[in-house]
Amino acid sequence: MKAIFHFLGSIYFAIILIAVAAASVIAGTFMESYSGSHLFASSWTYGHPLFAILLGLFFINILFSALRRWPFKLKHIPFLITHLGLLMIIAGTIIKNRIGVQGNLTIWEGSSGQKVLLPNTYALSVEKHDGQKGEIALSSLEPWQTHFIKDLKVKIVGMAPHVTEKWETWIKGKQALITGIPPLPVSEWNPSVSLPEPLLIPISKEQIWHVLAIKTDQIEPLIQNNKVKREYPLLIIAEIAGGTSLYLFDKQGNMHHEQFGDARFKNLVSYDNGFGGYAVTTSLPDPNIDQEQKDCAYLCKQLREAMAKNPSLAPPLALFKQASDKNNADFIEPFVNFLVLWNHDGRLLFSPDSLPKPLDTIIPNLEIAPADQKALQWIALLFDRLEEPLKNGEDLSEYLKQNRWPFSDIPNDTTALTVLAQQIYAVSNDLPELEQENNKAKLLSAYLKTYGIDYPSIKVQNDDQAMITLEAPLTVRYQQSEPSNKYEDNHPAIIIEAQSGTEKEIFALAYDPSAMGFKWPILKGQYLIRLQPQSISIPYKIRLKQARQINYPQTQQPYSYEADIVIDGTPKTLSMNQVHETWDGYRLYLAGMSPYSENSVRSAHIIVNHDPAKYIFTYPGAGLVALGIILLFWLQPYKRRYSK
Amino acid sequence: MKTHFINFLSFSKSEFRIPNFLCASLFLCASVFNFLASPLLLISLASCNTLKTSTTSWQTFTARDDSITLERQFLYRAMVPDGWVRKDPPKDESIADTMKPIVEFTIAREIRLTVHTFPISDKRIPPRAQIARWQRQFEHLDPQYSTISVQSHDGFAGLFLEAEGLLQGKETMMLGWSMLLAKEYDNLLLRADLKRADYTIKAIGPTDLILHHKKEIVHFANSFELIDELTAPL
Repeated sequence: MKAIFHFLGSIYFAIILIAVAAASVIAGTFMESYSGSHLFASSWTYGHPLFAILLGLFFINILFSALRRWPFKLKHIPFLITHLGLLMIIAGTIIKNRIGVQGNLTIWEGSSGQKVLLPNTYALSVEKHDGQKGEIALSSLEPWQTHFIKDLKVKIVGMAPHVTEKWETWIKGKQALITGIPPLPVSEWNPSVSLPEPLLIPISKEQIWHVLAIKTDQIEPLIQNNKVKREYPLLIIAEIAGGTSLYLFDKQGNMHHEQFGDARFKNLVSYDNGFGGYAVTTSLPDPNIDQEQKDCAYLCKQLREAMAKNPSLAPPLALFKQASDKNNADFIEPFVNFLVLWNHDGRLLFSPDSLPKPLDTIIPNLEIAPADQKALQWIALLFDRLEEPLKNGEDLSEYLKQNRWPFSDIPNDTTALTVLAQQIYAVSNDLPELEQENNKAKLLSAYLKTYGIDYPSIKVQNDDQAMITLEAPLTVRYQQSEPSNKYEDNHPAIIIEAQSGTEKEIFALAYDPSAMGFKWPILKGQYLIRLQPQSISIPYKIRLKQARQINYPQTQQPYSYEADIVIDGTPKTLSMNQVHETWDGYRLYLAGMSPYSENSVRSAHIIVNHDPAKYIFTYPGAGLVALGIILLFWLQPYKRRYSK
Repeated sequence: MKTHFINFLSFSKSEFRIPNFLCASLFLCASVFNFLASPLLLISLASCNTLKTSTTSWQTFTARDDSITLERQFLYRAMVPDGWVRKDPPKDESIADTMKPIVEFTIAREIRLTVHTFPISDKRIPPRAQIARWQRQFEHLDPQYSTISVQSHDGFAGLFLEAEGLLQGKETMMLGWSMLLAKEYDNLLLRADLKRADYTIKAIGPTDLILHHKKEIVHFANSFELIDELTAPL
């Protein structure tokens, strides 16, 4: 027994322990370098239970080596002080590991938080329909552990170290789902096979649509398919890489498109606060209503309201009004009609063979000034020349460059033709006379183009559009994948068997490290559940007022990040180098923040650290070690002198 | 010469050695002087400072009433500098009409600062539209002196306009904040209708006066918040 005591307190045992610790640190360095994962390396070294035993053995070795000096003498004081300090440091480390806090707190501007998430831990967050909330802490995700929370029994029956998740909306497996309509079969399609016949589906009491549910990786040939353009209204639900898309074709041949995928949904519905499940919705314009007619009526109304204030009109509009007044005709409706006809015509300038009433009398009465007429004739000539190359998809600026167009600065957007027309207009005085162009509709469209006026540019978005809303249940599917050695990249999932009373359900849950995702309804909406890190409440409520990025002057390069917080009613500012510590040792570090926009706020990520033993054991222990070492050296000459 | 010099040195060394007790006393005196002088120096310097540092205090503001009961609930607060003259709407008058400010301040007699709230209904005024409306109020506005920046704090996000131009024939400066309750909180406040409000803060006055008080106006706007924090989004 005595021999064991002496060995445990011996220098040999200390050397063995130091060697083992050094070897594990070296191994950890190589492991981290090999896997690129700090978590992987730490789980095999100082995060491993054996390392805690090693720490305990160090404690024993230091304690026993001190006790071996018993009975203590005056000359032992430096040695004892040093060893007491070391014991205090190790005790501090053990206490910090056991009851200290190192976690993340995410707070949005305007809200507060005090629940800290402990990284790399696991818990099931459970919420009952009556409002009760609870958390089941899991020591690991290993199967066959059973836990109880009140009348809910959960048993982990399976585990996958890494899964990929796929959000399913309108298409789930081989079925397409629209709420309120029986499931539709999904067909696989590629351009080499013929398109299946669309199904006639009653979308509402008044609406019957053709619907096609397709799985394909070639969406362009699908929507360009002749069959697609034949039957209206047609809804295509297409599953393509990266998500699901909806395409609705209306009577006028317009296509409306919305894409779903990536867990970011524009319109999300949660029923009964999530207990009734989640759904995505889309609002599509009623395909049976002539939207263009409605838009035109709305545009006329807007223009009439504007004209009531007698605004000063752009020259082409003033010209058109003058001609309308001369014919005692309305100005607004024929003008909008002219723009719509031009838009349908599809050519750069509008030169119809005939015009409907009253345009057939207004247009010939346009009195274009001779100087303007010359400029417009040149514009018409150039645009006629551009018609063919642009139709063939040629790049306008390239084409102009090739044909040695003398002016530069042609923008590469929708204003390009207007800029071109304005350039001709500016130099028209110096251009030779052209043969008379008699088509006044063409000259008017050239005049309007010079001022950037056409139907798409002045069309007003009509908010009173008749819309039809469709909805699909939102679900998520997990696919098991090969786990990576870089533990941080893995996304584990578990299969759970939940039971409450006679109700039983088996379902899968993926780990949500931020605890910000959905809580999923189980047992017919009795509970909501989420797999997340364990959380603890700190004794401080932290309210975030503002999180901001400070840039270097005159640049967008970040110089610093700051967060104004209110902690127990006291305002404080955290920044990258400004840590706040409460009187009882809670340290708050600003770790990062999310971006913000005009209609969203920032969230700040704060790391909360609490070492309860820091001031009691660790720091005094370090002080004692320092003091002991000084005394060891300081007493050495005296010891030598006395020994002589 | 050399000997004389050495003698001189040795003389000075031996004859003018300061006694230990005197050294200690001098050191003590210097320390005491340093200890006392530093704050005195600071105080004297501070009294020389001609900059006026106005103090601020939290003031609370009510939300709009429902036009039936005329009851107003205290919902907002902000840091208001001393010297601002506050004008609340009459208590017997409804402020359900969003054209009426919930509170108004007069700063240095010529600056008018108003706070409007807009309970969230189906249609909300986008900050860009509000800012454009404010810009149109100027008869002449030089784009060079009109800047818009994105802002967010205390659960609200929006735009800040700083514009200088001719308004009603006078050189005027406008500082305006058009803030919306952030989308993160949209779905959480379905029951607390009063909190579902966007707000605007607008200060108008002579350019030089606004520039003089800009810091405290900005501080007021940045401190404007709901008295109770919002429920965390998730």
